[in-house]
Amino acid sequence: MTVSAEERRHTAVAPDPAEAALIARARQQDTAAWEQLVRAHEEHVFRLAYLVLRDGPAAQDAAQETFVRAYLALARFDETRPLRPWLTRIAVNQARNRLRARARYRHRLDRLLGRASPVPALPHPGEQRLQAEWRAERLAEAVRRLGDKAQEVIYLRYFLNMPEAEMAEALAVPAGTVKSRLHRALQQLRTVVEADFPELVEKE
Amino acid sequence: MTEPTATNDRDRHDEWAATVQALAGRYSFPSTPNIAGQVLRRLEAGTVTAHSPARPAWRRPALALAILLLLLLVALSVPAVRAAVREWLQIGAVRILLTPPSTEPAATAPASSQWPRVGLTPPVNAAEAGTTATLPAATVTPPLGAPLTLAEAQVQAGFELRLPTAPPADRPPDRVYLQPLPVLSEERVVISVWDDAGRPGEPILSLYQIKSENCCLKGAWASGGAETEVGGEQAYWVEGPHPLSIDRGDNWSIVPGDVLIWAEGAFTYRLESTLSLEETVTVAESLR
Repeated sequence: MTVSAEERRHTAVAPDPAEAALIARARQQDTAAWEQLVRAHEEHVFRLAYLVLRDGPAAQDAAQETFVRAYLALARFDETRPLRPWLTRIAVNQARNRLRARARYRHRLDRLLGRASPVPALPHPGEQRLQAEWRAERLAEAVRRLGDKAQEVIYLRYFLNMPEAEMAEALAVPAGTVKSRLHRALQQLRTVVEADFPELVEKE
Repeated sequence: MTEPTATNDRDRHDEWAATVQALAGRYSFPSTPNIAGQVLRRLEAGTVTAHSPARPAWRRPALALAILLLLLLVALSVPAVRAAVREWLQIGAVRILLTPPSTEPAATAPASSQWPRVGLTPPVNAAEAGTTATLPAATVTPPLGAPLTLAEAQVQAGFELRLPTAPPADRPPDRVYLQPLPVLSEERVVISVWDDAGRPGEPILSLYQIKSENCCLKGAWASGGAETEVGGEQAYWVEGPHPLSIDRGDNWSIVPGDVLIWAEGAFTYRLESTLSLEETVTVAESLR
């Protein structure tokens, strides 16, 4: 489902004038201006890629490619829109593509070797990380059991604190759709957690 | 008026949303690397063409399947390698072992294995490399010969040297070596080395150009890595320290860093790199 012009008027996030000025300069191939924009958004893009890929170097590659592709496509960017949702959309695609390629490779390798993919074990809480961080990691593991769309909204809303209006821009759906997707995703997540990660809902 | 059940459901949902928010807020991300610097280097180098697959997506599984079948047929036709059919991938002259080699350790490297390694960091032993007890001990890498000029290497190699045009290798190499392959002495490998800017003797890239039409003699054990592409050709990225044998697995040395391996025509290339995979592929695709 895509966003109509009318719906966009209701969900639009106002672009930052300073950012718009940098975008205008970057469109004139001012790489210093683009560097400032990358610095402003690199943490968000890297973290999003990391949530999807669970691999620092791969997330770094995906983030780098996101900014290079965005720069190449700046001429097609609607400068009346904020930049972060657009970068988010590119980053999600980059990370998902890499994840699929990695899965295909591992599947081929596993078939070649006649083995099952190893399931990475989480370290026991208290040995390598604090209990709260371990619980957060367990939550992320539960989120990975969900479908792609559900994962995306959970990551953006709760792990990256993205406002729903901005999520609507990033996902190119109406704000109402974001709300309903979040609602469904949270229900699915609760089902997964109660079944396989009960420690996350036990009262401390 | 809202039904009590609906209110309870909404409260329960809101409470769960708050729990997820609180848990997710403690998620520990790694430090964000300097992505802006990497992007800027690519933009200023003029190598920012979109990195898209050269082949349609539907052909990639088909090609991979064809390669696997070919590897299987070749391996099964040779009794000596039949047992190892499920243990390696071949890219040009380089055989990438997917399981640890089981050869007994060699005390020293024989004279025939004078193939040098231009390490990017100090050598490490097998234990430091995270290998298992079945891994042969690393041999002492013989010293490199005297470096040549690029022109000298070009003449003596007997084939056209290809060099990158993307940074940080968008300048002549700091050193060039020419070495015979240990088994096929008529073949040559040219090693071009680029040092870190302002740090002579500290390599950041080492490119091996191996004329390999008739040769199939090396192995690299990939405890970690990924299949990738260079200019649409199959390539493999071996991550982290790994053993390398240059003579069918009798003697092993440790390559301390990441290596990108690919083949084009009659040549196999190894690019030892301190850069990311993406940057290394960019350098590899810039060969002219």
